[in-house]
Amino acid sequence: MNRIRDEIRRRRRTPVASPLDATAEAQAADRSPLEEIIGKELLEKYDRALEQLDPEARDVVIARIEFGCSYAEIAETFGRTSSEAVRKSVSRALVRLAEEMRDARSVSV
Amino acid sequence: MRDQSLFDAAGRIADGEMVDWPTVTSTASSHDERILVDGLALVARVAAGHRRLHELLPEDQRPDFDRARWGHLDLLNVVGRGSYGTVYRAWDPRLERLVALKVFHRSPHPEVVMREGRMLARVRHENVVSVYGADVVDGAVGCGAAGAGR
Repeated sequence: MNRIRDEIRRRRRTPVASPLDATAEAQAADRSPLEEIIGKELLEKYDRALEQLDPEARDVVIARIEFGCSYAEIAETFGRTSSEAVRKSVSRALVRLAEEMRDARSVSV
Repeated sequence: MRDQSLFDAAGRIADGEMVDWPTVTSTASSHDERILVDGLALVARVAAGHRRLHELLPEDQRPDFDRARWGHLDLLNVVGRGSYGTVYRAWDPRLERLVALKVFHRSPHPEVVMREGRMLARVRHENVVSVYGADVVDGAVGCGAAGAGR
């Protein structure tokens, strides 16, 4: 999954075509599309929280949240018994992620 | 033990569904859990941002692989598709085994993905997918991994 994560890092650095006007494009030139959408501060807090998860939890979060993989695909890739088992793993991992992001309260919700 | 409503909310976030935050907050039984709900709300914003990014991806970056072979591998069926590429269940006639093959979208920097695949191929750990090969075929980068199931 590290290679998948590397790919999305590349996407973060690569501008995506969007109907932004020329001025907005210029202003956004030094920010990735994901930073524009989520916000740099929150994205950095998310990344730091993600690094605190155990590798298994981190992988399912990346696969589901960042890449939109189906539960069946995640089960297949990681040799899990069922999609339902993966679904529960993702939910548990997101609660763990939320625990790590409690320190991110300075970001308005 | 966390309240089940927190896990239910997390499941809805994972599935891109709406979360009734006032209700989730009202079920929080402690100050600690109320703060945790705030953390989940942040996770929801991150998840929504990624879904939005997927919607913005240009057509030519979306999955469009529908080939019967990749290199020497026989592609059997599509396991999953994502914004990054397509995962196939494939048969390796050289190793005589089923493998999982992830073919990435055409990248302007295939060497970066290749390098990752090669690094992963050296890693053997229970929490890491074992990659046994990476290659470029017709400009498309792919990584083969054990554990494709039956």
